[in-house]
Amino acid sequence: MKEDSANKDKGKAHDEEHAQWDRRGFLKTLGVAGAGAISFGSSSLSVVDSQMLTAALAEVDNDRVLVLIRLKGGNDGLNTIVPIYDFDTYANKRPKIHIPQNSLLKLNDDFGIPNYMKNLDGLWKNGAMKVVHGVGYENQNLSHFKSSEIWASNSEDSSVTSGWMGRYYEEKYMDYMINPPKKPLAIQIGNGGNLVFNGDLTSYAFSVSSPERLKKVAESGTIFDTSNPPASLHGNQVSFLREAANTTYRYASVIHEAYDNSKEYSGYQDNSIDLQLSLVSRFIKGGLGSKVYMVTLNGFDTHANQPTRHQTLMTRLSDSIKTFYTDLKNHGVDDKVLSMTFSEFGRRVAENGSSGTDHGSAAPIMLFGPALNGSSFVGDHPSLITLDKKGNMANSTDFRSVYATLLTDWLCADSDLIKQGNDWN
Amino acid sequence: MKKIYKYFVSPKADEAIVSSLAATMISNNFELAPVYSQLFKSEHFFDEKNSNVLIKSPIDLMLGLHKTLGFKLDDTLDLEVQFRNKCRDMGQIIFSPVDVAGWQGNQDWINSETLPKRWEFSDYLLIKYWKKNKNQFKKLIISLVGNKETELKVIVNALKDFMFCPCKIKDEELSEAIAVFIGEVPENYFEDGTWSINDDSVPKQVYDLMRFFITLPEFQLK
Repeated sequence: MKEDSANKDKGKAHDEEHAQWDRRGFLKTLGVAGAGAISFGSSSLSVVDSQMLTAALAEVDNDRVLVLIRLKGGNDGLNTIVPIYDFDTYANKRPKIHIPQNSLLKLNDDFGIPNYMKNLDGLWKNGAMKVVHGVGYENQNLSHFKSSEIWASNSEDSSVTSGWMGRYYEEKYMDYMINPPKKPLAIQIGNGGNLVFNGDLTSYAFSVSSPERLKKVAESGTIFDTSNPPASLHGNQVSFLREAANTTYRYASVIHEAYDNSKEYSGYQDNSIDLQLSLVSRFIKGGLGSKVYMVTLNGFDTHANQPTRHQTLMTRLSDSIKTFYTDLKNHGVDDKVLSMTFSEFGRRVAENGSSGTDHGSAAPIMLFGPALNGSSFVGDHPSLITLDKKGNMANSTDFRSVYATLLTDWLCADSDLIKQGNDWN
Repeated sequence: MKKIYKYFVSPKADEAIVSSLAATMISNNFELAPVYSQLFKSEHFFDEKNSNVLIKSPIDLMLGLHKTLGFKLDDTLDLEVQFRNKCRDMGQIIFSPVDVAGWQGNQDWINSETLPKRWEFSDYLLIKYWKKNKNQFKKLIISLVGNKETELKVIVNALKDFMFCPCKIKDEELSEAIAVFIGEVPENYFEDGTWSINDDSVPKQVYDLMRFFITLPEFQLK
């Protein structure tokens, strides 16, 4: 983290606070201060109204934004970034589901993307896309749940319930619970218990399980819809509680403000990922100031009938990324926004008997945004021939190093803060 | 008599019923047992109009959740002390009403300080059950819907009706509840029959759903 001198003093104050208050102390203070972490979806928000000590800290930061795009279910990396350099091996292992060479769009001589991902071509040609090869971790755990947990928490240890972003925020905003920043630090759509933003004490994201719900919050500025209560005593009581809850949630109104401050871009299509990115864009354009957003595209667990399903998903993803960056560019903020795809694992090299692929290991991560300043591949593509016993590729890049790079080089954070989960290796 | 009525039935007193209860008390030499017997056996008491209209007191909230779920907690946890302290923080010092008139109850329990605590402390219990034994969450849902149910709406509604006094919640909140229950499970698992209620993912799914339910306004009512 880049610090000015005022900030350093604040850092010292933070250290002292940290020394005095263990976690129990923190929780106790909550009671006294009238603060609390409340659950919404399966995450928490802080609801305290108090002075915004940390807001100042947020001010000295840059205005960069990180958008995490979760490809839920395990994206097939080999049919996303196709290894032309070893096309024969690739095609032989996947007789039914490989992307034929004449349906490929070459990014360079060695790698291509399927034609239906053509909307990424512009970003690639304009130097706004990078691909990190073979990202994963040693001894890939092939369960969706466990693997999502590991990706989120950076740790194989089940007892670690905090996520990599959450730990970062916990260190950075030590008094989050008592003095939460004015704006949500992060916004997560489609959570379902994903750990990325969880700290040990609370979740640092404003999160909702469905984009439709987030849209309602953005439109109305309230968490709970108080319109049309049933005309009964029960209806009255529910309305009373809804209104009480609405005044307690602190972020709904700032989200609403940012939403109102920005205009809808008409290029988005009518599907979940487009809706999510259009909301993110409106929050960015409207000056919400949240640093990190996470959106989710579901359906990547392609055990069967992969070709049509994967084509639909990747087309949707490519189209929405292009629309998103066009939208941001129209507002001159595209260079402030970096996006990254990630998935709990890749898929096996060889296809299975039902025109699909089973849970694999390493897969590429894609990064988008003009700030990347030049398109390229990073790292080495894992071998399609030297596989482990299950037929999976070895990872060539540890996902934690990608995270660390994003935090240090993009958000300008101290990468020590996310290293806690590294010990198990 | 109005107080008894408002405590057990509804914040809006039905004068006819109240008078009838008062008459019963007088004719029974001011004994209360016959009054309660009459009230609790009456159709009025079970009338749908009178369900989900009372805001739970703090102890009602905590004890109610604990008794409803019947889950195990760590033996070392001193529940009495915990409940006493948490109820105090939510505005109710057990066995020590604010004045001779007693707690005002109803909407008096709710303000911007106590409501977050009601969420937090309900959540606290759920976290403690989870830490003690994750499987009790799975056992409960199977006891509610059997071990073959795969229809998400049925499962989510069953848990809702178990945790709340049965009442309808908004469609958008039901959809969100379903999304919460799906959680980390890939959506296609529910379409292609891969998912079953016996899966290892189920305890966490139920736990997450409960943590969502306790944030809904309806959870504050009985």
